[in-house]
Amino acid sequence: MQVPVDWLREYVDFDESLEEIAHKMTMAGAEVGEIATERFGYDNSFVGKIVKTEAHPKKDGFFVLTVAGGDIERIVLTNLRPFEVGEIIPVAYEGFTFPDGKKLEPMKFGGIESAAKIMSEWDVEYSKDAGVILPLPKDAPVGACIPDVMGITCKVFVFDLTPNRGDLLCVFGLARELAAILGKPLKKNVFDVSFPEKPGDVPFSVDIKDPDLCPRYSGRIIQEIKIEESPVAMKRRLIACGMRPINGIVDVTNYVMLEAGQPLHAFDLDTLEDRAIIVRRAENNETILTIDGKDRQLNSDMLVIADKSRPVAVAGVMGGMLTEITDKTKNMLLESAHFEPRNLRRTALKLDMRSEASLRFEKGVPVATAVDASNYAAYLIHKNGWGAPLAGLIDANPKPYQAPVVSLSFDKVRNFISPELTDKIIEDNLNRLGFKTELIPGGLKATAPENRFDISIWQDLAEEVARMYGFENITSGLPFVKTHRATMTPSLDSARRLRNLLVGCGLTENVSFSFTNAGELAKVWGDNPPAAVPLRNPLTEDHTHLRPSLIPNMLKTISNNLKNAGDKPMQMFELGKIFLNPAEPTEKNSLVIGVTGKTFQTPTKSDYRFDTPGYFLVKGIVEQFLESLTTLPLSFVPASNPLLHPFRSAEVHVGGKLAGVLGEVHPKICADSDIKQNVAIAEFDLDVIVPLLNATYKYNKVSRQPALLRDISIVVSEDINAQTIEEIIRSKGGSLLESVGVFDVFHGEILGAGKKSISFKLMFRHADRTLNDDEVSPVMEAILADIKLSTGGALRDM
Amino acid sequence: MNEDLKAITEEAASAIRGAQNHQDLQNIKAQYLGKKGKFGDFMNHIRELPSNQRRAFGEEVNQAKVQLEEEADKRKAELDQKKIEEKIKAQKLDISLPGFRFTTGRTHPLTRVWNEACDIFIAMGFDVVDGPEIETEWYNFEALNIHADHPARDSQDSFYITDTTLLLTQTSPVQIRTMEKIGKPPVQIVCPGRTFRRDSVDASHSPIFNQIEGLMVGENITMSHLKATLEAFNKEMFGPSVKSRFRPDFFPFVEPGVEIAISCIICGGDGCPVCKRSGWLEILGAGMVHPQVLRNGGFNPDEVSGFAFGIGIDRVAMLKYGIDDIRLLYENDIRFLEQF
Repeated sequence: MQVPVDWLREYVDFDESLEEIAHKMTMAGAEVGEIATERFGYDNSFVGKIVKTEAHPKKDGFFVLTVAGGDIERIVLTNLRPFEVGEIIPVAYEGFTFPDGKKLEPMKFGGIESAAKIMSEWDVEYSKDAGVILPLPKDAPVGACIPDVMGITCKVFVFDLTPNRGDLLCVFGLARELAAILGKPLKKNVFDVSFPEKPGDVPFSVDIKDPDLCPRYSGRIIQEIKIEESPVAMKRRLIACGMRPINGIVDVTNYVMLEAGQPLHAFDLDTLEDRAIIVRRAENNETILTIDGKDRQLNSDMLVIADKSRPVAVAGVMGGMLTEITDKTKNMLLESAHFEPRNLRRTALKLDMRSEASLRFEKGVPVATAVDASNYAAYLIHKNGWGAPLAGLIDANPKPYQAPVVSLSFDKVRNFISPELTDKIIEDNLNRLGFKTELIPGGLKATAPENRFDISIWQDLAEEVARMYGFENITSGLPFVKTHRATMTPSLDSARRLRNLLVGCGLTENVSFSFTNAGELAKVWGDNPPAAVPLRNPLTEDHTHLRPSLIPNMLKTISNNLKNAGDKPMQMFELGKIFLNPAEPTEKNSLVIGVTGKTFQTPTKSDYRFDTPGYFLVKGIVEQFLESLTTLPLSFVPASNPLLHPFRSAEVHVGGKLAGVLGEVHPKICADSDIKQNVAIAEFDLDVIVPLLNATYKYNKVSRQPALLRDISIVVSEDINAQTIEEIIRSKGGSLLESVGVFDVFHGEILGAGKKSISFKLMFRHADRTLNDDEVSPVMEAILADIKLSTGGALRDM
Repeated sequence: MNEDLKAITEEAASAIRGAQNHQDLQNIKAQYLGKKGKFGDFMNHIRELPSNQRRAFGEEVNQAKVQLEEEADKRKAELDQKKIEEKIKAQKLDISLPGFRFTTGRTHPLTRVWNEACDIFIAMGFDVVDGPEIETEWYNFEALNIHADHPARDSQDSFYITDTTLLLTQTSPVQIRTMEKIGKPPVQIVCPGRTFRRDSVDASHSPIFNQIEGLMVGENITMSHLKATLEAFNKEMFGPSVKSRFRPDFFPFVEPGVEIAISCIICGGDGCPVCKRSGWLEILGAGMVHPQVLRNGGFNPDEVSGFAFGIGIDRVAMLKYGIDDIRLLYENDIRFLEQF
């Protein structure tokens, strides 16, 4: 809603600056988004100084002028008279809008191009004379905009209103609000008009068939219709409010809507069969040709205005073409009615027709003033000599409007808004807004003004009081509550703790969209993707389903990052919701880790330390992550997961329970995802992981005795895995062996084909005394003997 | 002989002082003080002296030996020092070379804000609860006073899963769910959540974004409490000098509805492009819980009242960290993530 400030000033006097008024209205709930300057389409014009003048080379009597002002310079062609260099003239250029709505466009005349003209008096409706150059004030500064120097501008408040305040969608409503905010009286009431009525002798009828959808319908006949252009002042107000002037009659209906908030419709009375207005639901399959020239298919949910035989308007939304006002109209029927907002909104949406009228009806139009608005329109039409209103207005009012009467308790308002609101503050603020109040024990009874049909409960009144008092002025005070230990619900708490642990393991958190699509899933799972929950109404082709796994996003992230950031080390995780079971959609948290890139330098030539680590890096991270959660033993057993490299993947079991899978992404999937290096991922079952967060800690005794260390390298056949040997070491190591771990793996010609060397570090310790070599040597011998026996492995000669 | 002793002692002392390294020093000591060294000759000589002179000469020899031992110790200390200095010199590094690093993890900026916000509210006594992302129309709309024809649904074009279920468009459904679950006042919760709207992706719009919903219901909960609570949050989140502005707004599930802005954290309120020259940044919607919403949650609006609020986490993160494009929050560009 945009409103010229001078229109508001007709109703309320104020001395404050426009900025102050805008601020006050904004802080009371009617937000002024912008204070604009309206130039009525005349913006593209300037006070120009002629810098060059020539005779037109081809057209006798024409001159080619070069005119400059400010940053603008244009060529003007004219045959008005010869001009001198240095003369000051008004110039309009391309984009300038003429009073008839046409725009100035560049043209070519006799081979010379021009995108500007010398302005006439008519061009800004200074007069109707299009042949006279617009006279400029003597001191008009060169370069200035013409409407600015001619005083043809107005300031406009551009409001961003909330949808609950339909009453503010008109000048009068906003003026009432402003008067209440400033605590000033309204200078006049928009409906306070009188005009002579011609004795009515034309019979017509109004019949409301569905009073729920149309509680009130008033019709009046206006004869001797003259279709003329509206006066400049009226046209400018319409333009300033964002509407286009059409002709006097149409302009009046819009003008009344803008000023008083009541949408009106004008029918050509002589086109209505039997001069009958029937407000009814449409028949299924009925159609109407609306004024925008489209055939509209109607149905029985829609309310129409019909004559005896056919719909003539979609009620409150748009009129019919066959019954609209034309140049030939002699008699008109003026409709001022009220329609039920929700049904009207559905109709407008269904027919894809939103108009200024329908938007107002959707948000609510006051029922009480329907006839007053009709009177105001009749007054304007009469005043301008465009028609003679006939007596005998029909006001079908099957459901007479009852102004809301709501009682409130002062204490309740104080216990709802703030204790400082005294009885008097509450009463005064309601009175300022036009509520009639009557004191009752402990409170008051308020009758809403006729435009505040939105009021129905005491909280509505409390809101009005709070707005007028000013939210800014309400004292802040923290609530007094019974203390309790505030907690985070376990699902969120565990997610938060897991995130912290994962970041501690060197992983960077990802957050990605919950959407996916069939192609993305096929890239990873081929012909056998997991079932994904489809969206009914996706917005784009990329986002058609909810993600059934976090893995596709992880691979996409890694692929994108490899393109954008090169081979930076990448260690990431995402912990977020996935969606399963399309038949009955369920959501659960999932956790995926993804790693790639050079993550550490290689201090030895050992092939155990890969340049672009995959399996061992993700395994290490998983081990660290799980060991930070639990002391339960971890075991890794070969996995058969179609997403993973068959020989570089494992299931991880925690205390014997399957907790997840990890490994390098299958090379084919990497290729399909446009990834050219090792990428390893891990995916966890949070149903197993989350309970580990409840682990409790218990101290195990730390020995103060010195340890004895033994490093051994075992040369063994390639197909024996380290874990087998480690288990032998553990079992033969007995109680003196404190720990054992692999620290190197070596392949080389020196070992022979199909052989490798695995190096272990063994730590022996006695809990209560110092160990000596003689005690450890037999244990070592037993270990080596068993390794030889079970695996064929032998101590490597160094 | 006495002259000899003096001369030899001086010669030895000078040799010790001139020793160039530990081996050198060792050799010099052996040459003079060792059993077969020059002082050995003096010791032999003592026996040849008359007994009345032996004692005096013996003392002189001993004194000279002690003096030389001291000289040798001193020189050794000097040589030790020299050796360390040489070693240090040899260990000189180009300290401008990069350090050895291990990969550190980073917390996503949305999670950072989320954690911070939850901690602020926990400290004020709010429990943190969770809600589903697939929601029913009842909880997402109807129970919140947003009926099928409500104009508010204009701006809430939503992703539907079935006829009656959709991805939540706001975290407010958790208000009803929590009231139902707790069943009796007081209710004091916040709920962080992911929300979905059918918006095309651009620098300032995303079909997925995050909110924190808050709800407090109890006897005589007032707008004054709402103001104080959210002022406290704003100061904790954005710094003690930040100011809060409260003005009327409309949301169907609250009455009165409040829009809350903070003084611009970029320009301090003077006006800049981020705050569109207004000096204020809108970050919060709030209000007093609508009586119908209380009823829908199973509470009697004649007995209790409450306030509710919704904070845009994405917006807070963008303002706090100076992020100018919402897409960055969901693209997981490592160059972005490693800045946090």
